[in-house]
Amino acid sequence: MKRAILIGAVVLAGGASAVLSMPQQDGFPHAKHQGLFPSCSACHAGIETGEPAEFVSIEPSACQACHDGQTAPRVDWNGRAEQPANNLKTVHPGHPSIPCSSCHQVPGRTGDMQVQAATFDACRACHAPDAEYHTAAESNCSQCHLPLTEATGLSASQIEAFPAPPGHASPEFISAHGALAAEDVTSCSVCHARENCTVCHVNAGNVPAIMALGPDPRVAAMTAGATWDPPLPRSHMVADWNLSHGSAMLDSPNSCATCHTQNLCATCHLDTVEQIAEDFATASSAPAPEPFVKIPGHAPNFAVAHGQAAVAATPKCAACHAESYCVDCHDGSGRPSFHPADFVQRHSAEAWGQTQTCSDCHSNEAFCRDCHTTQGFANSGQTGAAFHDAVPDWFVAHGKAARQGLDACASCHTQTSCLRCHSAVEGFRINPHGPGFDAEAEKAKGSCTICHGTVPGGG
Amino acid sequence: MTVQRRTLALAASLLLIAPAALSAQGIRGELRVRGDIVGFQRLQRDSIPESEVTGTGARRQLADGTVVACTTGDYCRWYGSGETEDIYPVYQDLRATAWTGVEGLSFHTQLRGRLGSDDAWPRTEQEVEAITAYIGYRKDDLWLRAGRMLRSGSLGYKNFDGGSVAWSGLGPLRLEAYGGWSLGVGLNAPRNGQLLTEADEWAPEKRAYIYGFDGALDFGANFFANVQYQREIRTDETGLYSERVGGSLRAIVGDAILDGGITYDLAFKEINLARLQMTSPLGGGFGLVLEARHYRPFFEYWTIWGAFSPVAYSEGRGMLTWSSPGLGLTLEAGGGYRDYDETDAGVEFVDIKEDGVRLYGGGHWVSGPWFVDGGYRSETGFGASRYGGDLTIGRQLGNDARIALFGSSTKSFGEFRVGEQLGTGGGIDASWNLGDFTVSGSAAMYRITFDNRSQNEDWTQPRAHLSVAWRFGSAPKPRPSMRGIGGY
Repeated sequence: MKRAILIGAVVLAGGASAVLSMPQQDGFPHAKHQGLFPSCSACHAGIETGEPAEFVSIEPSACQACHDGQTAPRVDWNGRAEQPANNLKTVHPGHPSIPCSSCHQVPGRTGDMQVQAATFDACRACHAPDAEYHTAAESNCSQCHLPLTEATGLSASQIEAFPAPPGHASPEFISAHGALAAEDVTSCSVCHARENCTVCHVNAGNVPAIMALGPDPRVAAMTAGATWDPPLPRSHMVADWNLSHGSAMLDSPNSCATCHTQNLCATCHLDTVEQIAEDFATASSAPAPEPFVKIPGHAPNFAVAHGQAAVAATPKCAACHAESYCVDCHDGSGRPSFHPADFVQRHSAEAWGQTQTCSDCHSNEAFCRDCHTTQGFANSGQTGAAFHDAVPDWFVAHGKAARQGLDACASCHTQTSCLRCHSAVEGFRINPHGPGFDAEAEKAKGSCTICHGTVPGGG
Repeated sequence: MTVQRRTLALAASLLLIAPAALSAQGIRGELRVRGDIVGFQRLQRDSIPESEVTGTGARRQLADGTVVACTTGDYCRWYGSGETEDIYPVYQDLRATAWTGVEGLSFHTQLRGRLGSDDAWPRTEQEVEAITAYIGYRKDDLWLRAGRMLRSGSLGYKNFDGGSVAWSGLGPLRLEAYGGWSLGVGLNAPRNGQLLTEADEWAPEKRAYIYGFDGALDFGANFFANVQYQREIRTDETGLYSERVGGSLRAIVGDAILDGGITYDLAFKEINLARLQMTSPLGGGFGLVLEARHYRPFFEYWTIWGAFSPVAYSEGRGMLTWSSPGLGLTLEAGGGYRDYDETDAGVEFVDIKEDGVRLYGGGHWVSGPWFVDGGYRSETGFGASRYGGDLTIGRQLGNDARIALFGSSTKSFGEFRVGEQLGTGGGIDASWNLGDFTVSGSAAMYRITFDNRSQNEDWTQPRAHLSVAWRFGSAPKPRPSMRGIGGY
């Protein structure tokens, strides 16, 4: 498969490479000049220098030395015609020194000048003796073809006409091509430039294989404004992908970074964005997100002040959070993650100060008072101010504290404790109602009977 | 019917649903078992005959400085340290979501058991509870649910047995109606169950019906507003347990998020909570959070507390943050000042504070696999105060494990008691994902010492927990968290 893709890339350049396979019918009639020229390089100096302009180095005047109309007929040749643009490599310099005929001999003929342009078959005879034309597993596109960025003679239309290798049509190719490119990007470079990749890869700047391709203005023009609507990867099609994608991201952050930037993570992951940025940093070229507020993000104190946001966005919350995530804290008997260490020992100040509303999650009677009773804090029926020993005359002074922090009082004291003094039908009958208390408020009259025995004013 | 019998009945009904879940198109969930060791020191009331204590009056001192409350001709009493013991709470949690194979029809449940738990831990008599267990059906703009639900709204979290219908078919308008039998706050059990009746002599003798309505305008992230009305009425319809209305607002103005809410008690005609928060980036990595808050506790109408005229406080809060993703550093500092309304109670010669101040500073730093989290908090108020800090240093071990050392030191004083308490300690916390299992645990020791409380003995408190969670179906694998270490 991998090799097929490589070969396919070579086939892309087939239009140009086909030149290799054709005897040069329009060129110099080498066979007619057999015996006249002692060396190839006399006319083809470029073979040794590697300079394409000197591939045919002989001048028309040299021909006229014989073709003067008397010694030999005049010929109409004014120098080498402009060659059609191609992306073939000049292979002579650096090639192991072998006889020219090894590649250029016309098959079936003998003699020094029975030559033609080298064919791919001639190359294949040594480099891929068992392969089919342009499909050999051992083939390497860049062995014969220039990178696209160096084949500057090709026009945009020629590039667009490159045939797509069959391997590119495979459904697996989209997910496999990255690894192939990482292994041998030079083959890709025969047909592709960096701009081909940046259409899809938001992280192109951080992918070495892409950056190795180099930019090309022709491809840039061809891809300008192009967008890609990628098919949804199979991995994203599970119902809980929003919840379960974390592991996949950690396993293969580069895969995610192909399409996603850190900013997408920051849409939801504000609390842990530092870590995500770190996990993702090597994979994404996008600027790191501002780890403070991303809309619709989580502000720094979101853990304790998310109520309104949760109301506003319950369906959106559910995109990332299962209901059990809320229950972890709001059920109130598990182990909440937002209380600081040793909270059970030091929560008193928070409870009195009502930093958070404890009763949103905890039953004052069955949770707070239950534990305080077990530990001996809660009032168990005795009178006396032995517990609140810092305040003289606590009995007469406690009213102010009670009205300021009745939640905290009720976490130890039962209603019965208070009724010893505040009942309307027994004890000291001390009125607990503050100024402005609306005795006629009908809606809460159910509790009136606890102190009054009956509902004042009937009802 | 007792709480436990009701829960067992509900669990039995779940078994009827189970076949549907088992044959469902998909199911995912988690079973978690957790055990704790928590040491505590009881507070012990003690006394000696009043005649053996020198001085006069109701408030005297023993020779060692202990303040005692005396009743002439009777005893002088005080609270000192009692016995120290360790208790062992145990939890079992089952969470599951099942898709039935019928498009849009799903089943959700979260059951919690406390089987084998130490009786000294709160709520252990509730051996099995269903926190949620409902069937949901979504089709187009309609969302129907029935069963035991937790519903979040402007009035907070509310659990009940019943049903709800939500519809969002008219542009940004979202409407929902719900009703059923309400449950005790934070209990997942009826109000007339044994959890409350054993805790309070005046606990309700009747269950309650609940119904409510919620209307919202949702323009996405830029603007949201809603209004919610909710009423809980005794099943014999002789009285209410609550009747409230609430609203929420969330809007984006420029770079700032405005986030506010209000809840109003219709019986006592009082605002319980009104808050408005503005969150805004300042540039350069800085951000600002400002909040104004007015709070008065809400008490259900079956209690007498609402009639005791609790007062509200008004508070301003602020927080400044600075973050640098490059450095992996986040710093936060903030505070708040609150002032209580006039109580018209108490006496002139006893000074009880009418305000409170809280301050906070902290930071979080991540460098490679290492992370550090720390903070300092100061809370000064009328009933209790404390100040102290905590620090966690940890390391991620690959993607599936984490280990951390944590410690804290806090000095606290309050409850209108003489003396101070200092708690200092720390421990180790670790978590490890093993395929479909996650094992986590912690162990810590805290030294508790007292100043100016000669009747209290210094002691050492052990804390430890071990938790094993098994995920089934396609339940997501959690990444070991860097937050919340050493909580609880």
